[in-house]
Amino acid sequence: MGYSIGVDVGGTFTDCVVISPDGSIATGKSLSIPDDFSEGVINSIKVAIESLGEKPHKILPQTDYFCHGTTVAENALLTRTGAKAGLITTRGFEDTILIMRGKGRIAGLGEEAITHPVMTDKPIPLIPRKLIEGVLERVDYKGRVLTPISKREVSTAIDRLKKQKVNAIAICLLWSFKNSSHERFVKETIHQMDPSIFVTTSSDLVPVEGEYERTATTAINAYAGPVFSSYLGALTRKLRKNGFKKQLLVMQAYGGVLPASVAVERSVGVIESGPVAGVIASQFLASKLGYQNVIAADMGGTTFKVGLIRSGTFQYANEPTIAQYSMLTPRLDIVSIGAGGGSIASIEPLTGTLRVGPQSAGAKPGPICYGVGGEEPTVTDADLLLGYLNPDYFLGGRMKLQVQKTMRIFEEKLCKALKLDPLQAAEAIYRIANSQMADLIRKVTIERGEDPREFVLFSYGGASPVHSCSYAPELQIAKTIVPATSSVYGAFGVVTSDVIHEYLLSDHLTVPAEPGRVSRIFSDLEASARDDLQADGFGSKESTISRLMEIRYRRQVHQLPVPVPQKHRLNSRDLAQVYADFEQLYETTYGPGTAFREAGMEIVHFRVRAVGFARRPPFVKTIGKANGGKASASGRRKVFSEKDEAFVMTPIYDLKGFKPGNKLVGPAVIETPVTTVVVRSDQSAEMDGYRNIILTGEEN
Amino acid sequence: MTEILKGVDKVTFEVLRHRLWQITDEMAIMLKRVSGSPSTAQVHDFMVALYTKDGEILSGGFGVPWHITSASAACKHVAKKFASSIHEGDTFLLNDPYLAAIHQSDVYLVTPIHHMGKLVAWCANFVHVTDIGAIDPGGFSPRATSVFHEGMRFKGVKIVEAGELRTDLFDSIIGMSREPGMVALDLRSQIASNNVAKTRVADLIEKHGWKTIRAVMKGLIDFTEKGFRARLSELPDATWRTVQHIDILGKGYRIPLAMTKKGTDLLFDFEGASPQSPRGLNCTYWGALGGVMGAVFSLLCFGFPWNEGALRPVTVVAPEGSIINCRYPSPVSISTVAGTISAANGAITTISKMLGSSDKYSHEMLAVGNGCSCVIRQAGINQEGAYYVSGLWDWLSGSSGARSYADGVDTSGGQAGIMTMMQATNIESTESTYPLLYMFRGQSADSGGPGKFRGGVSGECCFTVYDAPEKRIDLIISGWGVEAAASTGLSGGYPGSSARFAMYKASEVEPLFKKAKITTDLVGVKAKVEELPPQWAGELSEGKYMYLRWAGGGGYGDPLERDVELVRADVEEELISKDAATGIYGVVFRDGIPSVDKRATLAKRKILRSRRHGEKIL
Repeated sequence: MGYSIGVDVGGTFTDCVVISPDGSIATGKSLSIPDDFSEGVINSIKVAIESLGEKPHKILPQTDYFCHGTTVAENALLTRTGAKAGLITTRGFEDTILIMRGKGRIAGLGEEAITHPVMTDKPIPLIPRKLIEGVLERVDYKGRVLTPISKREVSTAIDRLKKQKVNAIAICLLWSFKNSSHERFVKETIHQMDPSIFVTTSSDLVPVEGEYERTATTAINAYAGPVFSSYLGALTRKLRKNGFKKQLLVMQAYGGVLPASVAVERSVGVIESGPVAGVIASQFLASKLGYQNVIAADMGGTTFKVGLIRSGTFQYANEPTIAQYSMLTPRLDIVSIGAGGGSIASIEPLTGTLRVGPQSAGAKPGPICYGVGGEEPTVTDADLLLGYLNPDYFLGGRMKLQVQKTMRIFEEKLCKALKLDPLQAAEAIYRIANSQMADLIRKVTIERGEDPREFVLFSYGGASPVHSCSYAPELQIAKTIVPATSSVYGAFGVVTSDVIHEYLLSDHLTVPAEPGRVSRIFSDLEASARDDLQADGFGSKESTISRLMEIRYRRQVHQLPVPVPQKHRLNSRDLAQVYADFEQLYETTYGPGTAFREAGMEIVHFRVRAVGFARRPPFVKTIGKANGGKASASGRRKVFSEKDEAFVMTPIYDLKGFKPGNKLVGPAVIETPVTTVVVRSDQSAEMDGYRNIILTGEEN
Repeated sequence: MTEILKGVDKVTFEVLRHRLWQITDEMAIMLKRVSGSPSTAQVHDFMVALYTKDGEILSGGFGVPWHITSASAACKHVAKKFASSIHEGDTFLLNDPYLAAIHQSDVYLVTPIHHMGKLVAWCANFVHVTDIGAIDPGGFSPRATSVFHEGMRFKGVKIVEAGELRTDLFDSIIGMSREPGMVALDLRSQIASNNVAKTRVADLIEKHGWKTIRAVMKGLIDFTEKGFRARLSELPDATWRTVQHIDILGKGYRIPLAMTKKGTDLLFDFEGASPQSPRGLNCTYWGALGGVMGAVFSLLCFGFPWNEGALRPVTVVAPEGSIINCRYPSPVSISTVAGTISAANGAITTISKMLGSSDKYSHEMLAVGNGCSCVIRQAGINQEGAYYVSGLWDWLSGSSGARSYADGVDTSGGQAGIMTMMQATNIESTESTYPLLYMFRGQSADSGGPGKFRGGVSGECCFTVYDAPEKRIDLIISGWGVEAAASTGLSGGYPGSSARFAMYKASEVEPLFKKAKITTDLVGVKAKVEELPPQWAGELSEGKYMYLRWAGGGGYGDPLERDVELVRADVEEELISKDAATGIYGVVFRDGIPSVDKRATLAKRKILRSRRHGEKIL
């Protein structure tokens, strides 16, 4: 058993986790380098490995797993620095990606934007109209060719795009998921004419009904593809130079990792995979700690993000969007609002009421207290004034927080209007931010029929545990866990991810379907799955293959995945059971009486999922059993107590002095260089054997 | 503000303000989940809202804004009519356009919310149900000449009584529809949606206490009123005018609007509107009020919760017996997309003119987009051999009017350019569900009204029957805006394009398609073309091709002032034709498309300007 390395490339920092063969964990953090993200990756590995007293070229040859998550692709998308991409589509339907079904103007936006329509716009097109070529061809809804595609047409279209110097081409034709021969023909023709062009076809990427979403997904893949591919190439070369021999693995937004050789074709799948790693880390930790239901809450500088783990598995987003484009690639359901440490507090001019967010001071100019130019009161500033943050111990004391300046600006910008003193204003900001976070958690739990009381809260990201002590009790969540690896949680999540390949085939079959046909479809998909797992080095004991059929009632839009038995030859009794399971699942999901049975059912997708289990090193407890010892405080300061509605002298603990099994009763503040944990007077905290902090409410 | 929020902590107020929106959001999710019909789940033809115990608007949520005010009228009507027989667990169904609803297909479900046995609030929603048994399938009835032709009409019945669904009534209602199964789903989704609102509001009261919630409800309404009035006081006092037109069976109907702002009050007066029509494009007063308020909410109430406070400064006057306030029993089944939209268009235009009179607010101006209806319903035997009724929603790709600082949003979704949440379905979804085949669907060049900033372009599509067992289906068209363009421009901007409905006949189109020579442009195709009147019921059979272009957005300002570079880019992106670039925008190109001849452009613009002298102005 060798080393495992996980790296998470974020917008500001690149984090690294190195797990030694004995299960001990070393971490490293370094600045991200947007000009060459691969350089930042190498730096963070150095920091982590050097903390073990070792050198990268010693450790990397002994590394079995190198998994990483990256913002390279989304960075290219958000800053519009991706490829010059063209699109080839069915003539007569060239504008599909521009029309966006008329929904691109508000897709993914919130209340504020929707109620102010004059100010809403569609995103700037990733592929302008002049780089969209329609070719003559047509396939019908059953996959029958109505108009064959012609070589001359296709060559002319490619020539025109080449003249405009595109370096990537997306191909999406109507009904290609039913019959991909035309798309394949276009792809082959491009390869013949210019093999240097990055090509992506919708039938390879997302063979699913819905031409707008399919085109958008394919277009983003083409747009981000070349940038992502050259990044992976550079990183692979640097790792090889340091002696790394195995496959580089890349985090996907659906919650697994893929080998770089596969991921390079699917850059759209890595977009926004950063927050996903945190949910994966939570899933892994939950499985170790024995929790089935977890709310994973991540509070960063600009946003607060929440993902759910239910019965040990994560949830997928219903209608995922990226930059107002609707996507078909599966993505974990992670919901966010603009309530982060940098969220700005302001006075609503007409009413004099206080508002928090959604504008953010971000990292620059940042909160007032950072002293790097911020002039607007933020949530972090409020946290400081309330005594939660230690002005002398932020980033381990590397950044001194400015209390006086913060007080002065609060006085100027908030106090007069609110008729409150700065500390009262800070308290109000704290309460509003907490209620927004509670609302978001309500949205992802109660609104989806989940009871937050049945969940454990995992609170991570720098500012999160300052606030979770307040909103968790409001939602009657009994237990909050601040993970030991909280500061490099994404990197930790990446290294604990399984390799997950997804295979999909669209073929509308009216129920009851012919069992032989269904069996053949699954056999074909599973043959590819087995090949890929083998290529990744997974034997049958270290992997699983599962099958699903997505079924819907005709004339209703919701389709649901139903497990299918792993039999080589399915018979009509097996399928009858699958249909019955679907009918039951439909009513469980959407409520009794929601099925339009008279219209009949149809199978729309066949899915196979191949999972290669991450060979996770033993994850060891620091001590075998909690000894219940008392932690000792390192100091005291005045901290705001929500329960007493007053500042009270509160003991301060340094996490370094904490030992597993140590307990304390609130009020208290536990500090680390990057994270602060607030314990209310009605809560107690304990460190478990893995060095996680567990907060519980008072026993009733 | 302090007097508004007597006894309520400001922070609690801010928290609850967002909770109410979240509750309506959850109502919308429930409608989409339970119904699963394309019209509700994909097109978003619905509305959800909360009301006070007196039926005043508490929180207008996501959905068609015309209905926020008329569902308030529905709550008020039920509250009065049923008074002492309103009990916890009841839900009322109402769809009478003369009482509250705008047309019969938008069925309202109204549910009282109780606390400790006392009525404290209402929740309401509508969905456009699949079919209500009118003379024409689908609910919009171009052939109806009286409200009695337009399907079932309820003045308020208890569909759920003390928590129990009245199955006798439920079965009777769905039995009056051509699509009982789909309508049953529609109604169930509506009941589920109100149930969720009821539970959430009850939880809020449980947590914060009725006294606080009552104060916050009042505070929110006062907050919006105060904010809205303050905004109005920053705008000049004056009267602004516009005239809208609706073409019905070859006859033009005028809908003038004079909007007067005085102090902090707004009066919308439709004096002079044409007499009511014998066809269902008329609207009742509720339709006129809803249309005006949809514009008021969208253009003047940003930043405030959409509630009764927005209604208080507003008065809407519509002459009785006119197309904008018709008398019983005139037909009204097309009103939501005709009389009501026209009222909205007028209000959008006069409000924008007012906003344009203020330096502070001129960037909030919006010309009308997708200003008329292109509703098409279809019915027949589908490829599975079953009878169906449904819609075609391509036209809800929409278009939006220009702004004072930017072009309108192209194919921006919804109607009138402000209903941003309505959207089209995918062609693949249409073709897999209905026996149809599309030739093309794209943006329509030159459909955006020319201007210094042009209106957003609309789109066009063409389709035929395909795999239809009977080789035909019924089409029912309930449109207008063909004779006169409905998307009004602003400050000298031209209106957006008119709508066009046409049937391409004879075998000439088909061989073209078979030989794969059909293009996105039917202009050059030699086929017998029948321009269809915008209200039409007939058949689409093999060998016939239905063409539709919906209305583009209105422009802003003089097209001769449009930045030459923007015109060039539009030509390159096929949003305007070269002819229009030269003829309307005065931009002259050198031989090829990309290069602008600057000197020739200056000269051309000079000529076009001078030609305007002495031109007759209508």
